Amino acid sequence: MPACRRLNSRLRQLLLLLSLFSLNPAVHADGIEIDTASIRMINGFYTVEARLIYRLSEKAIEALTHGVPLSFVVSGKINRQRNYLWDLNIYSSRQEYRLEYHALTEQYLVTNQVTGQRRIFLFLTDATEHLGRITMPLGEKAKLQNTKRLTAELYAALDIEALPAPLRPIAYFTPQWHISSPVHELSVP
Amino acid sequence: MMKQRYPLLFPLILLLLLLGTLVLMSNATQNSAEFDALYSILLLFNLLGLLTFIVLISLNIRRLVRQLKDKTPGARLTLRMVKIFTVMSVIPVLIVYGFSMDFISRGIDSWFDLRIEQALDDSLELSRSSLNMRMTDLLKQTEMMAEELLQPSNAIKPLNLSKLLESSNIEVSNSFSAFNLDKIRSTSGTEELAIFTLTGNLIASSSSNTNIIPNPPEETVLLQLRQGGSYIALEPLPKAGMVIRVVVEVPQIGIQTESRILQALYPMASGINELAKSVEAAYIKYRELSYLRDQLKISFTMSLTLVLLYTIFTAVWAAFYTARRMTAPIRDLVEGTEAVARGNYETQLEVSSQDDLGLLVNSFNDMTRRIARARDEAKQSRDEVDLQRSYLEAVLGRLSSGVMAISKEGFITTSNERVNRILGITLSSGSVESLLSISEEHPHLKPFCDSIAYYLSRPEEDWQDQVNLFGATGHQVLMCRGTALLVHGREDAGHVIVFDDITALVKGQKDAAWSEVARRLAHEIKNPLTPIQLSAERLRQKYLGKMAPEDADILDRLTNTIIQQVDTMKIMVNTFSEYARSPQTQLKPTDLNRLVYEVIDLFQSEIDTHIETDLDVDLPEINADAARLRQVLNNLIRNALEAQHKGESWLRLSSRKIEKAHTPYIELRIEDAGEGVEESKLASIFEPYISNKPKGTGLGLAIVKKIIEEHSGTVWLENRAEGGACAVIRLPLKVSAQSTRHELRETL
Repeated sequence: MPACRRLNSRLRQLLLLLSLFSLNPAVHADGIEIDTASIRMINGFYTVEARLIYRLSEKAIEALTHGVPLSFVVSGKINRQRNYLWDLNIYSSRQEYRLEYHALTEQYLVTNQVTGQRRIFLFLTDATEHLGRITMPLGEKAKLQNTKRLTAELYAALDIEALPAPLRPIAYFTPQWHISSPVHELSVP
Repeated sequence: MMKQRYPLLFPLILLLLLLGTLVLMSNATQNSAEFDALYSILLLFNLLGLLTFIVLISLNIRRLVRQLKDKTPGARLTLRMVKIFTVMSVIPVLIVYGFSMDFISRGIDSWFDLRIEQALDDSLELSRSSLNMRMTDLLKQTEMMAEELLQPSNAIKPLNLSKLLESSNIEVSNSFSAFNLDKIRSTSGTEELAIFTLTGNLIASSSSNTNIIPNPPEETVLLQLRQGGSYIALEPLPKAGMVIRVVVEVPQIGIQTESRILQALYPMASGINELAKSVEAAYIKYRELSYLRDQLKISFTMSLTLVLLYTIFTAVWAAFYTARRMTAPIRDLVEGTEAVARGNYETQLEVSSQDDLGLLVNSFNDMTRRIARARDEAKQSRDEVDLQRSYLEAVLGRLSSGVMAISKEGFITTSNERVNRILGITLSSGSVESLLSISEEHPHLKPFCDSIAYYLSRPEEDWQDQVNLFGATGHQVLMCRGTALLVHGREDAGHVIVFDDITALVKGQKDAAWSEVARRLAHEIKNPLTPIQLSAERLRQKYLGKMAPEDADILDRLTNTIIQQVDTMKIMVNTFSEYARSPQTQLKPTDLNRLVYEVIDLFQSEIDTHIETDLDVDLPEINADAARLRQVLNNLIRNALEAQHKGESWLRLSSRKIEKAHTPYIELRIEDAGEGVEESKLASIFEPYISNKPKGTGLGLAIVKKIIEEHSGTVWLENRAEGGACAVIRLPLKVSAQSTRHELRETL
């Protein structure tokens, strides 16, 4: 399944490109903003610490409150720059979070899909704020001791492939479902 | 065959793949866990497959349009089949599509009933109410526990307090004496009890699961507590189910004590937990479905539309494929037919099927074989006919007789070269002339044409006739024989006429006869003439002196008469002998013009004779006996002069070179202004003893004709339109070696 998800992410990017030609060219303020991001060394690991601001669109909120869980993927990479070819990826890491609405308790649940840890919030803003606090180890520094020209990037986006199947085709061609951040470049210390 | 299978296999495999993916897509739409993640890929695959089909169909359409423009055989049939297939597939599929869409829409709408929604809302509300009641009780219970913590007695260390102190480095208030968390927890039935500061720092905790470090309340909870309220909420935990979290403020003891909060987690009874989870799950599922109603319709519509398009495209492609297969033999047949029309009878088509079209192809192949065989046989027959014709033409060409085939309508269909030579006309091969046109164009041939026309009307008899013609070459006698052509299956196929120019034969026979007669007469008559003359002279000699003057006079007259008449008879006999005699003709190159001038000079002395000459100065020499030609000229000029009144004589002599029937001649004309010749005598005037003059031997013209014929020429008389007669002599031009050298010298 993870391989499928990676493939689907490529597919998602392709369909995202196609959706640029959709009939709704309206510019919207929804999305994910990377407020702060930096790489620190924690226990010998390159670790990204970032604060993301999630601005969910009306459609996303409506879907959330109607029981559609939203999955967000935060991915970080460390690349080595090359002169004549594209950058060589050395480390990559991703975190997946699931944001859902619990109707019975009228609360918002944020679950780490990898660790299974769940946080419960009464308000959506609290949940998204929790989503925005990122601490993500990327890779061991010792293995890159003599490697020069390292760059890092951080990216977060709503995983459209995790939406229910009937919603996906529409989501690909609806800008309000393209909730993502720009690729944020970081310097590697 | 492999080439034909490939176009069939590829679309079939593609279609099967696409149908398979449609099935998977349909399952994914219905939230099948196995295919849910593949939905987008399947959709994309289907779209690409659809695009492939569109490209396939477009290529076929483009090829068909090109074939229609080029008017390729079978293109219209293909178009018709495609139209029929498309209409036959689109209409029912569209009907099914329309109804299916309606059913899907209604079906999906039927899933969602307001009553069901209301029931779910009510269930959720009931659950909440029930849980709220429980939570209210637990709030009170927790508040009581908080107060209980302030009790100074029964201070029992929490079992894990030292550990907490070591790991969390929490400052412990010595005045906090409520170390009965464990006891309280165990008696209250909570899963976890924890004491925090209002800033979220853990003071103490007690938990049934010692491995879990309690989570501090969220900031919003702490804020609520700071504002003096309590917090109670139902929280769904992963795997553990739902728990009730209560956070209350622990009452302060004294002023210096930092505010504390007590957090308690109460597990829910498993039964209630399950029920609550069930209600919540159903509610959320229904809400999700309700929200995705339109999207579901769109997904099913998309799947159905893909099926519709696949069906239509498959039908269209099948139409193209079937039409191509059906028109291929037709196209081959058309090409084969065109090849046969061009003359290529060896065309054989490949039989690709055993159906009706295969039968047609077999019949075509059989037909071309037969045609080729018939052509070969016809060619062979034609070659044989050509050979026979060539043989016949060679034989006919060498015949001395003229052979003509004349149709019933009087058109000359076939003739040999001899016909042209005998009649002096030119019948070119390939042209069909009628007897009527020939007689109009060559009036002298009218008797010939009339004779043939007469016998054409009597096809049942073989006939023979002698025709006399008087034309450019003089008198001509033709012996004609005719018979009806018998062609199998055709009546009145015409006549075949064979004729010979027997002029020379007749003339020869006549000449021979006349020569014999002349010779005998000359011999029989001449013999007694001398004795008669001698006897008469003797009588004169013996008795003329002895008789009385009167009797002597009578004797004298009578004997003179006898002697004169005998002389006359001698002359006549000599002339006859001369006519009968065939002297040796000595041919030498002779200038005819010079000969004419010589003869004219003899007559110039005659008074009142006007002689005009129009002689061609370039007249070539001919091989002739000058003495005998001189005799001819002398006879003809004398005849011309004697035909006119004395003192009013006019003569015109003209010579020129002509060509008749590809033969060059010298033509000499001697015209006079006399009374002409009776038409009835023109044909026979050159025969012995036929004369226009009151006196004369009647052999002059016969001798002229004899001499001219000895020179292989012709002579005839014709009446001039202006009056008078014209004697025409034609002598063949035989170019002598001397004259050739002379001409060449002049050329150089």
